[in-house]
Amino acid sequence: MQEELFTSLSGNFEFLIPQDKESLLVLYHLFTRIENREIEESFTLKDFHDSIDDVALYLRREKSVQKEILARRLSHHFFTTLKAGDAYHFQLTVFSRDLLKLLKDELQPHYEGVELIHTFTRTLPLYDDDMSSVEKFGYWFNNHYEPARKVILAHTDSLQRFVDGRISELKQILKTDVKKARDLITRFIIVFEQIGKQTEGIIKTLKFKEVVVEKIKGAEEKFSATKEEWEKYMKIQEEIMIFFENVDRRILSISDKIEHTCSRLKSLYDTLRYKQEFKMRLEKFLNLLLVHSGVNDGEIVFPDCIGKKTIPCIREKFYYVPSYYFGNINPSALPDLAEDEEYRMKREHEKISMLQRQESVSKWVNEMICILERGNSAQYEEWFEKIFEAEKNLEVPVDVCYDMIQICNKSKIFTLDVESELYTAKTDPVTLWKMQFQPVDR
Amino acid sequence: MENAISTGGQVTIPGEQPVTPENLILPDVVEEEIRNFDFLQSDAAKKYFADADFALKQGRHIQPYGDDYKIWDFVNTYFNKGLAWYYERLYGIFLRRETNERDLYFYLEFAEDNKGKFGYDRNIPIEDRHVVFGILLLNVYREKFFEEKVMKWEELEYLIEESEQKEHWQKLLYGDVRRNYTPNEKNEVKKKIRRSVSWFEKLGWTRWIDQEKIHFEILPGIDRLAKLYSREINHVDVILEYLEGENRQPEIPV
Repeated sequence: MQEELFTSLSGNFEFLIPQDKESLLVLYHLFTRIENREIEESFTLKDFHDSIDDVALYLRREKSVQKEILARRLSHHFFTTLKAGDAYHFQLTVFSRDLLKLLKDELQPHYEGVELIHTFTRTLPLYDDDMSSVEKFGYWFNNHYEPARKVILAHTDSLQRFVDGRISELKQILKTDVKKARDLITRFIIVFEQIGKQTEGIIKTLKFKEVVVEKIKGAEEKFSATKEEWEKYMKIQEEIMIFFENVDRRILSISDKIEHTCSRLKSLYDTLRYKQEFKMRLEKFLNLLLVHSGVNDGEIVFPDCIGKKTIPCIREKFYYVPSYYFGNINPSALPDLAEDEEYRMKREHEKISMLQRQESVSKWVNEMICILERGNSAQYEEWFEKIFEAEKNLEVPVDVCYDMIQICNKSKIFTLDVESELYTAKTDPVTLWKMQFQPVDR
Repeated sequence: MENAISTGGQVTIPGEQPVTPENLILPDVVEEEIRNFDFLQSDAAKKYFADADFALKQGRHIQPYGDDYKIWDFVNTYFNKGLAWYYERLYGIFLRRETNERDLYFYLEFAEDNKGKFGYDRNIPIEDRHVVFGILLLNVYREKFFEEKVMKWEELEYLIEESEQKEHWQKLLYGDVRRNYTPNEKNEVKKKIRRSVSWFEKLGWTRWIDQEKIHFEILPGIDRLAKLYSREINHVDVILEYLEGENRQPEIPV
């Protein structure tokens, strides 16, 4: 079925859709002339030729349009030929009229300035009598709801365009000359009012829609007598609900835009007069910075008359760079783990503690090396107590001792003497050998 | 949800007065300031004071966005109920409440003549490279009045490579003006910009959408730059005259 239609569409494409501007304009010209009663519904060949000439003149075509070929092409779907006596007459087909009307509505919607509620109340009223039997409800659905659906969707499309258009107009207003502020304010108040009118329509529409939905839902009991009635009723109800949900989404999106714009407009009024002048000075200032700044060691430097500004800011910082050895592991190559927040915080806390420990270790190692470089020796058990007292963490003096042993092993200027005598720290149960670090030449 | 509606030629927001040119400007609400620290006894203070305090002291501008929403709410509620007084009394600095296009934000600011307890290394100078980029973002923020205040790398790239001011940007970012730059040089500039935006994010002036692609949102707090440089901006002509050799050292009124 689908394939058959596809074949038919592709085969008739050039006859179904006007292929060039001339064809479309000739059809539209005929259509409007008929509507304006300038020519008869059954128009003559001369009327047709006149329309072609008018369009050629409008398009400023130097070459004459091939009238016969055009007539042949359009005769497939756009007009029918009637014989009246010796003369031939033509009529636009229903397809042709509908297409031209659609195009006209698309480009010049007749909803502009009309609130959405108007479309709803004109096209979708549901009276008690419509709900008196499933047949009448079906009739309402087929003959009122179905046509209304199309009109309502077209109106929301149009409303969307209207609101977008007004917002774009406001954007343009903002760009104009600030000196005419009073004029600008008057202009955007007008736009504001237009948008406000549409919003009023939207609020009423949502209420009206709710009434229709309640009426339909409230009739459930009436249609539950037979399975057939119930199924028909539910099918219609489902279709209407889906449609209303769609309309809701569209309307709420438009309403959000309007609300956003209105709040912006209020703020705009507050700031308009000051804003534009300040904005101009701001642009000037940016330009001044760009033109008069220099570059020193790859850093941007402002002219002296632009002073540096400071802001209150307490930074977390480490005073010593922790010496941290990752071994053969490349930290960036580790896969990401799916961790929960609590676990991640715990890990982060652990890492910070470890870095702080490393920082302390570095600090104490540096301090001991300074002592040794000055030619003094360091009795480690004394340092052990000193470090532990300061850090309150047993791991720090142990790590310092380990690092110092490593340094002495690699160093040619420091040595380590280990006495074969045990020392028990005040912080029992740690026991260590008595050790003395000293410079070589001592 | 508030909706604007029209009533006979006047536009109103439900619950408010009709909007006319005369009353579009909202009156300032005057709230009496409480000068004690009772707010610290509240449940909200127990929950949010520490986070708000850390954020403010680290230079952050607190706005109702993302994770900052709760502390913004706390600061907004207790601003005049002792919180502003707390900083003034105990730290000698001011907790400021400012608006940018009706978005409220809070930050700490020095008094005119001293830094209170934020002397020594408890303050940070704003680097010139951050300022020039920040002023650009502030400019963009004000231009995008009805739009999302979002910036992408492509916009910045256009500015550096195609705009009227491209040569100035190139001079400052690349160090010289040439027809072409190597991919490495371009990459370095991209890194510089990423670092600036990251720094702004710490201050609450921007929010990353995609850090890798340099796609971010400019937040109302960027307005702080306008406050910091308000004298220079308001007297830009005087500075220009001086820089262009037509005036002596500019005397910018306070």
